[in-house]
Amino acid sequence: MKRVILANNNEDEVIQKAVNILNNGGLVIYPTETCYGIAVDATNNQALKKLLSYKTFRGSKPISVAVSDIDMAKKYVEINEMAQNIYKNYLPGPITVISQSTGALEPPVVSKQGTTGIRIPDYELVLKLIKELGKPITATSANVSYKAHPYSIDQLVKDLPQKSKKLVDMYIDDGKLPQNTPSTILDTTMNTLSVLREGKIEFEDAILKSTLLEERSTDNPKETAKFGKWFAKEYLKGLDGAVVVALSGELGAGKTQFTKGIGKGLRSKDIVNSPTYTIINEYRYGRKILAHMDTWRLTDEDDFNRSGLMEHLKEGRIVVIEWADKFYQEIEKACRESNIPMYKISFQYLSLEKRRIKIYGTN
Amino acid sequence: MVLTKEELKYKPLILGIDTSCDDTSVALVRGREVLSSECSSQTELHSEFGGVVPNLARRLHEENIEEVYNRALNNNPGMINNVDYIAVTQGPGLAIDLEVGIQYAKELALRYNKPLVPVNHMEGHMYSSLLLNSKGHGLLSDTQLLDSFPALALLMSGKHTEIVYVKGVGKYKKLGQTLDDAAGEAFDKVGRLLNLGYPGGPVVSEFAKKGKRGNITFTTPMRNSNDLNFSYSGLKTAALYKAKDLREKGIAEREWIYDFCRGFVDAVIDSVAIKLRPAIERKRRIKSIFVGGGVFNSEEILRSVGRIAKEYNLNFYYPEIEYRSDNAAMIGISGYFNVLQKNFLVEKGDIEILDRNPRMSL
Repeated sequence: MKRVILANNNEDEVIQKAVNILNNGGLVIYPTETCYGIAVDATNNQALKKLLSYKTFRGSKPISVAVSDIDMAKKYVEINEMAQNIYKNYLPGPITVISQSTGALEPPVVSKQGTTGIRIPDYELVLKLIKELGKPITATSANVSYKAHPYSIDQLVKDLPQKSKKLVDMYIDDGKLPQNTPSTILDTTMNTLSVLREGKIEFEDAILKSTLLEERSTDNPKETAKFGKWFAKEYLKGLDGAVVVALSGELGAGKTQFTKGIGKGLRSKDIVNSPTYTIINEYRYGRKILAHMDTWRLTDEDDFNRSGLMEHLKEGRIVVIEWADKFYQEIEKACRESNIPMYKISFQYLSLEKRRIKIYGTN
Repeated sequence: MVLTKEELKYKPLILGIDTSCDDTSVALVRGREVLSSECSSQTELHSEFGGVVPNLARRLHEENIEEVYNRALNNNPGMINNVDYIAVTQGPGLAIDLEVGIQYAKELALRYNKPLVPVNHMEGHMYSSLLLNSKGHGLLSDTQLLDSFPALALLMSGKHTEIVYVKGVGKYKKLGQTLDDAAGEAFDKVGRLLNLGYPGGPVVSEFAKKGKRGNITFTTPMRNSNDLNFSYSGLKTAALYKAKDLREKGIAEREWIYDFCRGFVDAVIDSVAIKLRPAIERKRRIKSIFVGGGVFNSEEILRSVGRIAKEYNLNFYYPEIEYRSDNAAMIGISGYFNVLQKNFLVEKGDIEILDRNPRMSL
């Protein structure tokens, strides 16, 4: 009998049976804390092919895998700092964490971008099963495409086409599952932390070698903007030719507020707002253009080179760059090669509203 | 301009192109009907991974555009001959990205001798709620459309947060906008400071559903500003501080994170309400509210605006889920309304000199 009712059987025997089937490239339906899933050995290409024909049409959508713990996950994906945090805080649980694959797995459990979604189900039986198998299993819901997520074996079987039914080797039936929603997906592949950290060291190094021009503590965002206005009047007004103003500081440290002040100081009537999504905002003042850049969403040098920064510098514009520390090396090189002056400005949190702002000149 | 029923009977075939954002998008519309709508990330959507928003690695418009264009024409290149107009986003957006779409649109217009319609991306979001499916079904008929103005448009995305008074097609007045971060950006940045990956916005919305209201609260930004502008950078900073505080207290993240997200989402919902209500009261004659932009992927935020519309007895028009984030179908429909107003370029010389406008505004 393919259907094994968990309540009536010895759990270890059920697990052993499932492991044997999976080791032989078979398909096992299993319960999770979200809904019934379908498992094959995620490292077995033949079994994965069988799974795809079970699911009927799916296009090129990747399939997630379930592991027993973070150590098993590490064999198949690169766990960066952000992923580490999520594993620590939320797993096991109804969350799928996307990370870069190490190359040990292949499509369809790897996406076109070379990423894999990993889950650690909050379900004792499944964790024991994976541990016993010693390899990840697929973690896709057991329904075929366009059918509802199955919360009971009866409902699943009712919806299954004959062709798919024939492919199943075992149903682990743990009764009716609570109707929990599918897992939440957390993509950790755009972890800017490491890029930032390297850049930050370079930036801080450069600051040490530079002249401290001004230093001020501001009590609130308005004062931060005022300081920006003062800086623009004192250092940027009437300048001809390109200048880079490189800003560095945490989320919410006042970089955009300061730039607002620069806009005011240059007498721009445009509203200065965050360029995080546009990458570069442009504001008019007189007959000139102030460029306001943000590298927060840029992941690598290619992204940076495609931003259009160089074009603005060639036009001889003032360019204010938020998160400049992330790409400090590239910015410094551009300035050095074209002989463009750079101001470096650091923002530090003192309290919720208070900031310490330091302005440095060229080395 | 005031549209007439007669004018709306003209339903030209329009090719829409948008490269103002991370995605390369091309769509084909007939009047308000969407015949196809394609984008570069579509084939790679991690559906199993829950509709992950495309990341910047796909921001390669030059490499994507040909393929997306072919898909939009259903791989039938001859189809371009039947197209009546080419519509393209002129701004706002990153100059270097806009350039790719405009260049491509110009080449098509010149090679196939089609008029070119420059479109404002934000006008696209504004009209995304008026799109119909390929069977001609949607929220409103042509007759209802004629009777939906004047209106207010609430546009909320990663880049923009604004309230616009829409007197009629082509007649807009911006009543308020964000002074710093856009709402969608605040969502993603809070997701980031909670270490929930990027884009964290959808995760924050998802987690908020599991949270308990009132356990963790944030002050609604701009409550006392006496204008219709928005600001989310203070909320972001407050969130950063609260997260730091909770972490320092040593409470496990999974104990507070859901309530934290709940509090944040509630503050955003409230920030919208406190600006939308006075805007409606200021423009007493409006008949409808249009919404557009990726923030409305959050059904909760969408419904909160819908409730306000109902309270004031206004029509409420919102886009289907696939047209909330950036897409080219909305560029097509915006192109359509521009065509009806005779806003398009025909002369070779005019087409050649069309330039991007990165800081375009309504």
